[in-house]
Amino acid sequence: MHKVRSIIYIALFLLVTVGMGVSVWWSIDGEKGADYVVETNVPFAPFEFYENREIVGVDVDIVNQVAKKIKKTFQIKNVEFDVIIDNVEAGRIADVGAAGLTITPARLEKVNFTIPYYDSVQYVIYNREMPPSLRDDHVVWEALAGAKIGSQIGSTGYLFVDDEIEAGALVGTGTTLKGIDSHQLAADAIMAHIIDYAVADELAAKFIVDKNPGLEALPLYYAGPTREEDYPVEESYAIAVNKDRPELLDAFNEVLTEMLTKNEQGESEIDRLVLKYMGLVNE
Amino acid sequence: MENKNTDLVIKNLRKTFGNNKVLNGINFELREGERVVILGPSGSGKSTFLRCINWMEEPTSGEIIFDGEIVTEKNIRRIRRNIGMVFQHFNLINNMTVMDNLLLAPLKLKLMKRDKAEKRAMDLLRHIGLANKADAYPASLSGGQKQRVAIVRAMMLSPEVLLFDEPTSALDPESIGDVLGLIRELADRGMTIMIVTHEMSFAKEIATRVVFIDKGCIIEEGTPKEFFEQPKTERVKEFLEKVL
Amino acid sequence: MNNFFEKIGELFSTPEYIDSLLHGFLLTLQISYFALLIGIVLGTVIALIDTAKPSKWLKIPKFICRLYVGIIRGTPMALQLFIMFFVIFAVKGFPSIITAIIAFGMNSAAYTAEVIRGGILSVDAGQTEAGLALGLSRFTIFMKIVAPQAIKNIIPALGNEIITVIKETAIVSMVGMYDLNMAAKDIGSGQNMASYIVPMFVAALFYLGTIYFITFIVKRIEKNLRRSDLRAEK
Repeated sequence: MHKVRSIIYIALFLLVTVGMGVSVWWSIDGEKGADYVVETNVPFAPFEFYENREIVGVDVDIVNQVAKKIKKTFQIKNVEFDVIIDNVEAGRIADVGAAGLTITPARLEKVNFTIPYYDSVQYVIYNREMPPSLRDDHVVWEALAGAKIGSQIGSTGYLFVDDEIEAGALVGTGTTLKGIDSHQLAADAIMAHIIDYAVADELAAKFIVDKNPGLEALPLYYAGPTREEDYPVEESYAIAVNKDRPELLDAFNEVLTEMLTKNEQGESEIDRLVLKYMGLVNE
Repeated sequence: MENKNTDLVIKNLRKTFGNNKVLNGINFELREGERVVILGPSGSGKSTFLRCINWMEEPTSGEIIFDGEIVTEKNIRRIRRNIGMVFQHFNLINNMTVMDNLLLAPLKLKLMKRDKAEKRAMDLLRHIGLANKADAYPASLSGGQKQRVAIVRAMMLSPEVLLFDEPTSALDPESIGDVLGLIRELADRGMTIMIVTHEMSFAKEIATRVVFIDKGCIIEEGTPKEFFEQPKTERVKEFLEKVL
Repeated sequence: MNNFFEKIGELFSTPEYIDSLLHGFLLTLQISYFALLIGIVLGTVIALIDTAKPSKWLKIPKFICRLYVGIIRGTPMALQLFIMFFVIFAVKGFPSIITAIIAFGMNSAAYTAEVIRGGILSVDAGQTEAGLALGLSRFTIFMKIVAPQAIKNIIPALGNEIITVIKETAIVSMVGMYDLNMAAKDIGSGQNMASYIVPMFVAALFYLGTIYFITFIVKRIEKNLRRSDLRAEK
């Protein structure tokens, strides 16, 4: 009796182990064998986000076009935003970073950047019932003084806020900055009153506001001498490429140039893709 | 009882734990049929001395010669079969029944056939009145019952010597009598015994020789009569005044 | 609050969401299962070396084991995962699931080793002495006397470790792996949900269910093992 039961348990254990092993084997099978690895950080709609467990978005389409052009395969990997630049610099596990990366001097020391393919403005996301003081259609940094601000850790929005707190409009105002896992979580954090405002790129902000009726967003401006002279917090996105892969940089630049060429209606392919993934274009 | 020629010689036995010198050169001989009671104040090293004999504690230096053979790391397991040991805290195997405790060594060491071993175990249990506890686990026995089972477990392999390390110190007064009775019975049957105990009257009654240890040395030894009635050293006189 | 239940309903009635959660759940189970397997085997080896009678030959292995356990227990799991991913197994094309399994397996080994060591040391030294005095070998003493008693103390703590590993694997989403936690984030960032809270809540139910099941199994094993004690009490 005792022996029979032991045998059943051992058989059960072996069965589960083999079953698990096979399932792991399958998942490995789909993962290996690409010529290049592209690192990104999901979700950052419309540039990269999951749809039915697959990463899709503008950046993915750009990579796919490059793949088609140079007849190489690319694997797109989702990683923490912070590590992308370092991994592309090292070149051991990644060749390309495509994550709505802004060109900054510090990043340029580590990686090559393609031509910019999208200009973005920083937005402030806030609770509809507790807006900051507005200047017509925008918000200036000074309006955020003393608040708790959240932003995706390592994103340019985060860096902009940090700069203002360290040596800008928010110095000594008691303003605090919280690094948050993603823009999406920053939105939840506002609703939960953990932070007062979130700073994010225009598209990310619009996407979030669109889905959360309690939230609103307006562009973020540097205050000028007069109200009319306020100017927006801008940045340009580009794709990061490892410095030892000039051939890849050329391929990306070629594809981007094509995709940025405007048609008769004054609309480029990138513009079209952005609209498509924002869900603003009906299928 | 089985008769074998026991001969235990201990030469210049020393044992240190770190910087603590517990035994400082003990010389001792044991002959067949002797019943040696080891006395001494607590911390004197008497338990350590007993435990060194079957290498429960490995001696730091000195020789232990059992039946003409020097005890070493290599032969100690074989020699232990001939030296039974009874502990203060019984040390019955908790996850085995009383019967399995008795069968453990004979069967694992392949010294007896199962049916023979079971018969001997049952006889011994019946003798101590615990045959009905054969299938019980140690947790359900009283202290006195446990110690009597421990003694018959040590007897299963018919050892030449039995070592008792304070066998009654952990017992309630009622059980002490039962356990001492069993030891007395073994003594009457000619078993060679070494016992560390605090039971002075029992020591007086059972011993053929008394050994007094203090600070890791044998201070005095002799017959119980000599020892208890005409102690030779001041140290023993002092000790006896306190305990008697 | 109404909105909350509405969204939960929506989540459960959308096949894509359920599919995503199940895929994430599978990865969580795969990593946990093999990590625990490695942890128990390696942990047992470490515990045996650590509790073995000191000798010349074991001096260095014992030192290595203690160092290993010290380092693993003394550093955060997230850090170990990052080092595995971005330093040790920073090889293009190396499957991340294997890296994750090794990272969690090595972590679990240190904790399991402590659990087993504790279980072995909790067995009274007198039990070993009794075996030695009877002339048994150290191997027999371990297998027949120490191990069966140690297991009773090990199982509950080991159950704890299993639960810890299952929950801790949630940090693989930090390296972009699609586990249960990531599935929740994925659904939360999708066009319809646009909130982490509801999918996170549902993912929590998955974790809770799994851990409830594990607890149930461990309790049953404990009960079986304690049967000898119960009989003894009669």
